[in-house]
Amino acid sequence: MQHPRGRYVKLNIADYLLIAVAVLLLLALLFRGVGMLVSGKAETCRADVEFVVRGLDETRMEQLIAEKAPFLLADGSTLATQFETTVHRETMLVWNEDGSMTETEDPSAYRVTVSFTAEGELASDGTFLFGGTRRLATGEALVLTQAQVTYTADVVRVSVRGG
Amino acid sequence: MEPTQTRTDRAAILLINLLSILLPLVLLLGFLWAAQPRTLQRNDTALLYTVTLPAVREEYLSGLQADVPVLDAVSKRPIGHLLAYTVEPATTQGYHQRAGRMRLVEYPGHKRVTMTIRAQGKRMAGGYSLAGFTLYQGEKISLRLPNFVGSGSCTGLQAQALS
Repeated sequence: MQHPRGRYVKLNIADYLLIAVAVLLLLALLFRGVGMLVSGKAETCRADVEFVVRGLDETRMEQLIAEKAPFLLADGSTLATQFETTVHRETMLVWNEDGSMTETEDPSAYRVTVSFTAEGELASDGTFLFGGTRRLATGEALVLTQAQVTYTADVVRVSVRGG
Repeated sequence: MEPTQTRTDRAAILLINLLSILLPLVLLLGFLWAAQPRTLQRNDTALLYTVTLPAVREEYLSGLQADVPVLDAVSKRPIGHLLAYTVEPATTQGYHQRAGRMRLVEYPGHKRVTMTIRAQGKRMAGGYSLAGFTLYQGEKISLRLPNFVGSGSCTGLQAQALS
């Protein structure tokens, strides 16, 4: 390193570390830039998303539809702050004498569909990326928390509006 | 550096400085590169395989779409391109009480989906290496399409050596 008065000075361990970190950052930026150029810039878009919470008893169903607190993902990030809920009777399968099954309404359980609009990006493979990294697709299982209550849910619709 | 040192000494020290920074960095990057799973491999075989998902909820079928990339749901690595899919009634076992025997019956609300996927892999002992795992017939696969997530088994595998 050049001393301000024009003479060279010895590098100490802090200097080495500083330079090493700077070089690493530079390399990381370089790779990131190349990666973005190769994969293409992700398109920003909105998607109408629906997930279903199944098998709720009446108390938990009423609690869910009355609660306006946001749904949080397992990592603590917010999935939905504004949403609409729709309640359906849950169905169950009943065995018949001949071994076949019939789907009937379950009088003691409810299924709540939660709809919301999510903002995210469209990945190069066409997947909707929520929050930059979280992929959302139909059939995906989610573990959600709302007002200290944990629910398991299935994504049943991801309809991307445009990009 | 002391003021009494010559120009040659200064140059030598600068070179040592540079090497002492770059050498550990090169070793570190080399170690990281060697430690990561191999994503690049020399594919020598064209693969056409089918994956059967035995019971997919009917409400998830809206997310299915042909002519899209397929990713391994766990590693998020590409494992081919979905050429086509078929949807048939899903079946399960039921007990016929009067006859006293098991029989295959329709599984209400569910469908069996068979996907035909084209990919390129590398021939391995007993199977084909595809995005980091070895594909055999009967192998369980969790796959992710742009708007669909599901699990099934490889039920058919055709391979053709690439020239």
